Order: sequence, then C-alpha cells, then structure tokens
Amino acid sequence: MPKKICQIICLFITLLLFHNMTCFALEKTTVSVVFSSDMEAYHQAWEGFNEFFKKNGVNLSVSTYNLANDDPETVILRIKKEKPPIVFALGTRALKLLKMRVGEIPIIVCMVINQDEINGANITGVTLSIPTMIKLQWINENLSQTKRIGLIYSIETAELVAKISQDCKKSGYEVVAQKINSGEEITWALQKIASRIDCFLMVPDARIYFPKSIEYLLMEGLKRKFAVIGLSSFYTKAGAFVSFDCDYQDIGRQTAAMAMKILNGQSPTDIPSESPRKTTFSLNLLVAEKIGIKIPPVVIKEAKEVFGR
Amino acid sequence: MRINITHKIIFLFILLISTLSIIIGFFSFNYGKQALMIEFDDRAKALVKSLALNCEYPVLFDNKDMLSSIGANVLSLKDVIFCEIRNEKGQVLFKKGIKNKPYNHEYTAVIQTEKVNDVEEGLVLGNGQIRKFEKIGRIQLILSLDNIRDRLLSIQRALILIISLGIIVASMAITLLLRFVLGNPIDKLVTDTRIVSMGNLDYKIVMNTKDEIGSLAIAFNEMLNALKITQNKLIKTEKMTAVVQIVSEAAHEIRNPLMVISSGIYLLKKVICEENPIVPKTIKQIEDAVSRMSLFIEDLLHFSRPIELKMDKVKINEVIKVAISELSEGLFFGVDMKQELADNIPEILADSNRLKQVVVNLVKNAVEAMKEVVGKKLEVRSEKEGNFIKISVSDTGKGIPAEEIASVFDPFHTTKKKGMGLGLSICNRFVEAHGGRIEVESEVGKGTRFVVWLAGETIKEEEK
Repeated sequence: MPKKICQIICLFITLLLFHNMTCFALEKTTVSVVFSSDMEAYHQAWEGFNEFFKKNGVNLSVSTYNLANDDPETVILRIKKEKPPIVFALGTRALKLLKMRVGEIPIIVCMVINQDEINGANITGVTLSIPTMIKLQWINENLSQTKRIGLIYSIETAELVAKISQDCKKSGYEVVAQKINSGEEITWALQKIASRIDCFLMVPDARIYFPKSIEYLLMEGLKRKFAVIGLSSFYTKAGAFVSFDCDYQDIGRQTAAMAMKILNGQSPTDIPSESPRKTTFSLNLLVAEKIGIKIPPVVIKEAKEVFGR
Repeated sequence: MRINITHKIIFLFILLISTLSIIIGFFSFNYGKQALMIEFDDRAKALVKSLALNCEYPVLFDNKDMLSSIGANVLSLKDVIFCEIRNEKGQVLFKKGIKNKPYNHEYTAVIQTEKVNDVEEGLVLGNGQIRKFEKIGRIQLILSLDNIRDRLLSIQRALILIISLGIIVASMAITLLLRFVLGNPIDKLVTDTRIVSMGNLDYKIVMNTKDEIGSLAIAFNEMLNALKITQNKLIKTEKMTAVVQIVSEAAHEIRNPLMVISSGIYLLKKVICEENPIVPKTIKQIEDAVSRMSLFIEDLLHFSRPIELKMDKVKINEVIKVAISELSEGLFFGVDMKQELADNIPEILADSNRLKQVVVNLVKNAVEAMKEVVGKKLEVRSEKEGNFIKISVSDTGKGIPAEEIASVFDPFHTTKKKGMGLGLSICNRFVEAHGGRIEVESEVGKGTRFVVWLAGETIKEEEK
C-alpha cells in the first residue's frame, strides 16, 4: 500500500514538474518581430498575434523592428545575435529580408499577398490572398448572370492568373484574360476585352495597377457596365462593385497558432501556409445601380461595409 | 525780365512738387509693374501645374484627342500663345501656337503619375505611404507679355496724366496761396516803402498779418520813427551850426567897434566938462546902450562857443533863490509869485552859474508871457522824483500854440517883439550839457509850464 502511495506521489510530482517545465519554457520565449512598414493593417495583425499568446498564458519577450525606420543590416545583425526561437515577419518586405539572411531560425509570416514567397524550409505563415473559390462562390450566388470573367495581368502575376483561370473553369466560368507589360497598356487591353466580359476580377499586380490605371478601370467598368471586383474595401469605396477583405487581427491570431506549433517543437516544413480563414466583403450600391445589378437586402446586410447608400 | 521773390518761391515749390511727383510716379509704376509680373508669373505657374495634372491621364494612356482638347482649351486662355506636350520618350503629343514671338515667358512642368511601390500588399491594404511618382512627360507653355505691356503702358499714361494734373493743380494752389500770403504783403510793403522814400516820413505801414512780414512792417515803422527823430536832430544841428557860425562872425565884427565906442565914452567922460547937464546924460545913455549890446554880444558868443561847465557841489534850492533875488523887483510887479522848494533835494554836481541863468531865463520868459493877461501867477517849484530833480516854472500866460511847442527851443524862435529868441535855446543847451532835459506843457489861454529834469542819483553816487 505505501509502495503504491509512493508511486502515485512520484507520478504526481513528475507530472507537475513536466507541466511546470513546459510552461516555464513558453514563458521564457523570445520572439523577434519585423514590420515591413507602419501600415495600420500590420499592427492589427500584430495585436491579434500577441492576443493569442496572452490568451494562452504566454507572455512573449519581444524584440520589435520596423523597416520603415530601422536599417535592414542592423536588424539582421541583432536577430542573429539574439537567436530567437522564432522570427515573426509582417509583410513581403520583411519576409524577403529575413528568408535570405537569418539562416535556420524559423520564420513565421503573415500579410503577404503572394503565396509563392512563403517557399523556404524554415518558413510558413498566412497569406493575404483570399481563395478564388470564395470569390467565385459569391459571384455565383449574387451575380448569377455572370458567365465570363475578365482578367488583366503582367508577367509578375502570370502564375496566379493561371491558378485563378483553373478555378474559374472549375466553377464553370469563361476567363477572358489579357496580358500586358505595364499599366499604361490597360486602356487598349480593356478596349479589347471589355465587350466580352460580365465582370472583372482584379489581381494584386503593382506593375499594372496604380492610381490612374485603377481610376481608368473603375471608370470603364461604370461606362461599359461590368462589375469590378476590387482588392479591398478601398476599391469599393473608390468605385468597384464588390471587394473581399480579410480580418487582419484574425490573420494575426491564425499566424500565432502556427507559431505556437513551431515553438512546441513542430518543424515549419510540416506546417503548410494558409489562406485567411475569415473573410468579409464590401459593396458599393451606387455602382451596382449604375451597372444595373440588383442586390438582395440579405446580401447587403451580410456586407461588412456598404458604400453609396 | 524781373523775377520777384514770390515767383522764385513758387518756382522752387513747383520744382519740388514735380520732382517728388516724378519720383513717386516712378516708384508706383515700378511697383505696379512688379505686382503685375508677379501676378502673371503666379497665374502662369498655376496654369502649367494644373495643366500637368490634367495631362497625366491622357499622356499616360496616350489619348491624343483628350490632349488636343486640353491644348486647345489652354491656347484659348488669355496670354497663352504656345503649348507643347511631350511624353517621357520625347515624342510630341500636342504642339500648337506661335513660339517665336517677342516679349514672352516660357513655363515648363513635369507630368508625372503616382505608382505603387514594389510591395504588393500596398495595393490591397490601400496604404498611401508607400508611393512613388514617375515622370511620364513634359509640358511647355509660352505666355505672351503683350497684355502686360499694354496694361503697363496704360498705367504709365494714367500716371503721367495724374502727375501732370497734380503738378498743375498744386502749382496753381501754391501760386494763389503764396500770392495771397507772401506776394500781396510784399507788394504792399514795396508800395509803402516807395511812399516813404518820396519823403513822407509820417507815413505808417499798416500790415494785418502777424507773421514775419507783419514784424518787418512794425520794424519798418520803428525805423521810420527813429529816422524822423534823427532827421529832426540833424536839421536842428545843421541849423545850429549855421547859426553859430553867423553869430560867431557877427559877434566878432560887432565887438571890436563896441570896444572902440566904450573906450571913446570913457575918454569923453574924463574930458568933457559937466557944464552942460545933457552931455553926461547922453553919454550915460550911450554907455548903457553899449553895455546892453556888449551883453548881447556876450550871449551870442556864449551860444556860439562850446559849453564849458564848471562843476561843483550845488544846492538847487539855493540856485533858484539867488537867481530870483538877482532879478529886479520891478519885474515881478503885479505878479503873484510863489516858491515851493522841497527840502529833500540833494546836492548835485553842476555849474551853478549856468543853472542860475537857466532859472533866470525861464522866470523872465514866464513874466514876459503874462504881460498882457490879468491874474498873473508865477510858481517856481523844486522836487525830487525818483532819481531825478525836477525844477518847474509855471505861469498863467497866454500859452504856446501846439504847433509851436516843438520849436520853442530852436534858436531865434521868438514870438516877442524884442529879443533874439536865444534864451530858451541857450537854456536847453545848458540843461542838456548837464545831462538833463527840458519839457514844455502849455495850453493856449491857460498858461505854460517848463520842467527841468536833472539827474540826481548819478551825481549822488559821484559825491560818495
């Protein structure tokens, strides 16, 4: 009997020690955070990331760097010196800097558009790219007359457009795509495809889209009555019919969950990159009216932001 | 041509006003020119900048129709004579207007467009910070300065007109003002001075202004008074000099024969017996006549000679008493004689004989003046008044007419049948030799009063 009691006590002590050790290890965790710039969205993501760890009883010891102010070389030198168990990159600029220079330190990343950037052995994270299928599903539900989807792209987004085209075809849409070299060519490209499309899907291509070309696209959309699907609510406000957005704070939480796994010993290679799990959409009712689209009130109610009421 | 002082002042004023007006006009014109040029420049810069912004879209998308429309609109604007729009490769997208026109200004601006940086999420996140501007073309505007030149010319003409009118009006106003304030009084002064220069020393210049010209008129009147007094003195002096010369020569001529007559009478008195009582009587009469003539001659000589005073301490009251006592009692027959001599008269340094003669002459004259009147009253007074001793001789005689008062002391001035008219003149000379003066107050029918003023204080000091 005493032997049993001793065994139980020993087991209890062992379990208690193990539990404490784990907690101790997490509490002592240091994370280096590198911001690409001072964009509000990055800070929202960082808030979500931090919130997740706090909620799980982990106080992070954080070294924060911002490439808007800090010298990239100094940032790299300090991270190498600190040797944190994980580096958190917010945005493409931070990711591009870190993935080449920090060696084997695991990198967890978010707020990056191009999924191809998250392509290293020690890198994983959450992209900004909302899956095309979500968009297509919404189009299917709310723009039932849409058959042909227009796309304009450059060589930078050729792969992305290829994937989108596949998704479109899978969903039964015809894709009318036009490749151009610069934003200045958007006029003739649109002239070429405008008459053949029902809606236009924008792709995040900085080579094509800049304020004037976006202005032109939105104006043409109104003129030629095709719905432009923008890249975020800013576009909806500017004149796109609909845009899909992410919850940046939730992206932070989503990324934090992945980071926790890495801190618990899982390899980044074993954790595939993810798309945002929570998406919203915004509508421009004035544009809808101009291009002759009727939107059911239920859909309007579902929208996170509604412009042109 | 004679240019008077008013004309000179007017000319100076006009010159000054013209110079000032020209300077002000010059600066106003330059200021206006500068303001117009600044306004022109600002307008042109704003125009070219606005044009560059408007051209962003058509240049970016090579929209020549839009560029033509913009260019045509710009060329229709005021002063714009040339417009050229090129893209970044240097290709001319729009060109119209006259480039080589004189008097123009060229303005250029870069046409640029905003591009998103290479960070793609900026496209999604809508961040305004990550921005860059890319040059996509260039715009050249040439604006003509013809309108500005025309406006400047009209401003110049207006300024010249305003300045000229201003100078004319100001000159007229100044001319009238100076004519009124300066010219007229000066002219009056000149006219009055001419009247005076014609010998009218009694003329008085009347000037109503209280300025320097008024003061000049007052000074001029004072000068006239002084001139008149001096002239009177001069006339007197000249008269006296002439008289003295005649008297001196006459006295000398008469005295020698009189000496001979006197010697003859003396001898005759010794030689001629006294048998015939008429002879000594006649001789006595001749002797008296000669004696009177000798005295008269002595008077004349006294008058002609410079006065030499024998100064000594003199009691004025004593002098008066002795003088009256020496006069014959018959002189005062029928005259109510009164002497009021003050006790406080100090001793003074004077020539007692001369003063005695003065008193005698004045008393004699007073008695003579009362010869034909009833109620003859003679009063001799002495008194001390301030620093002066005053001796007055008053009578109730026929009086002296006002117009004759000024000349009573002139030599040979007399209203009597007898006498040479030298008595008062000699008195005046003696008193003036003592540093004093004689005053006359007279009223016809009531009487005359002669007052001798002698300085008492000065003599007192000398006494000490």
